Amino acid sequence: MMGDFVKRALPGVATAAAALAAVAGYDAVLHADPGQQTTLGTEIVGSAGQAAAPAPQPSCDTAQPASGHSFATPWGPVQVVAEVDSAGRVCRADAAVYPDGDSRSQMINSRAIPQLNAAVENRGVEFDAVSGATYTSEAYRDSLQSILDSL
Amino acid sequence: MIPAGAGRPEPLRSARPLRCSFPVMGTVASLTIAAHRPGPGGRGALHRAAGEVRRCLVEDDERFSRYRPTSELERYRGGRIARQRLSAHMLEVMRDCESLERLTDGAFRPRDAAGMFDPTGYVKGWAMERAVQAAIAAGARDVCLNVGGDVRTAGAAAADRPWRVGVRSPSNGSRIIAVVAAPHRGAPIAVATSGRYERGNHLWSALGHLAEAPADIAVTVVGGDAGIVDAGATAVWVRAATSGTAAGLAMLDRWDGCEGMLALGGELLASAGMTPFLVGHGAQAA
Repeated sequence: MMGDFVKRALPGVATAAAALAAVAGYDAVLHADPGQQTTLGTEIVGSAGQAAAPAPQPSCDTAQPASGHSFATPWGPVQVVAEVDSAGRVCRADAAVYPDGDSRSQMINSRAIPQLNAAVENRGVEFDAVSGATYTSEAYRDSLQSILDSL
Repeated sequence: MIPAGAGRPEPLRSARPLRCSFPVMGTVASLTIAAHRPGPGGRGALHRAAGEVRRCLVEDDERFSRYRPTSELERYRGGRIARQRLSAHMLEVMRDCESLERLTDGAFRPRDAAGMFDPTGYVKGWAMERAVQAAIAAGARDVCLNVGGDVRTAGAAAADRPWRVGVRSPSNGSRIIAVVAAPHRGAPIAVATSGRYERGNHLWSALGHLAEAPADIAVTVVGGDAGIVDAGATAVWVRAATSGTAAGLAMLDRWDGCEGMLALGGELLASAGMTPFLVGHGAQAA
C-alpha cells in the first residue's frame, strides 16, 4: 500500500490564479499569493453573494419532496425539506420551519436559509458526501452529512 | 412466507442507490453504493457489499480502538501482547505509520503524549481503504464511504456524474467551501480533513510544545489512499500551525498523487496541483 507513496522533488511553481474561477459558495476573488499556493477565494459572510435560489437542474424535473429533517444551525433549529430526483440526488433544499425568536434570529435566518440551500444544492453542483474534521456521533446528528443520509 | 424468486439474484429494478449509515469508531459511517452499473450479482451484491463494509469497519474498530481495554491495540500498549504475537493487520498499520512519520519529517506522529504507539491519525483511513476493497470484492463498483468526515470513493455516482465531495467550512457546518471530484472519470479519490473545530484535542496534543494554535485552520488532503490522506491532513495541519501555511502546503509537493487545500480566516489556499480536483476549476463537472 505504501509503495506508491513516493517522494518527489518539485520546485516551487506559482499556479496561474487566472485559471481559477469561483468556488461554489465563494465569490471569485482571485489573487496570486507570493508563495507557491494560489488563493482561491474569500469567504462571503452574509447574504450579498447568495441572491436568489438557482433554477432547478434539468434532472430535477421529476423531483419529489423528501421528508423534513430538523437541522441545527448556529441560529437555531431549521426544518429542512429537500427535493430529490428519481436517482435520489438532491435537487433543492428549503426550510419549512423558521426558528422562532426575536427579530435578530429572524434577520439572521433570512440569510441562513439561502446558505443552507446553497450548501445542499451548492448552486446546482450536487454532492454525495461531506468532508470535515472528524465529528462525534452526537455532532453527526447536526451535520450536513446526516441530511444527505436522511434523504 | 418465502417471496417469489427467492434464491435468485434480485434484479436491479431501479437505479436507486443503496444507502445506509451506522455508528462505528466513535462516529458515524455513511455509505452510498450506486446502482447504475448492474453487476452479475444484481442488487443482492450491493447489499452484500454494504455488509462487508460494515463488517470490516466494526472488526477494525474492535482491533484498533483506544477505548476498549480488550482491543489488540490496548493489549499491546499495556504490554499484554508481545510484538511477535501481533496480527498481520496490526503489523501492517505499524509499518505504514513508521513510513508516514519519516515521510512527514515527524509532523505525523503515531504516538500519544506518553510516547506509546497510537495509530489513531492513520488507522481510520486504513480501515476505510480495506472496507472499500472488500465492497468491490463483493461485487460493488460505485461506492462512496464517509466515516466521520473522511471520504473514500470508487467508480462514479452515476453514468454521467462523478462522486462529488463537499468540503465544509471550518466556521460553519452548513456551508460548503469547495467541491472535490476525481480528475479522471471513475478514478477513486480519498478526501480527509483535519481541524480543531470538531474535536481538536488530538491535534492539540500532537503539537505538544505549541502554546497556542489557531482554531480555525482546516486542512483537506485529496489522493488515492484513504489512510495516506488521513495522516497527511493531520501532518499538514500540524506543520501549518507550527511553521505557517506555506510550509504546510509545501509538504504536499513531496507526495505523489496527494494534493490539498487549507482554509484559514475565510481564505482558501491550495497546493500547486489541487485545481484538477476542484469542481468548477478542473474536475469533471459531469
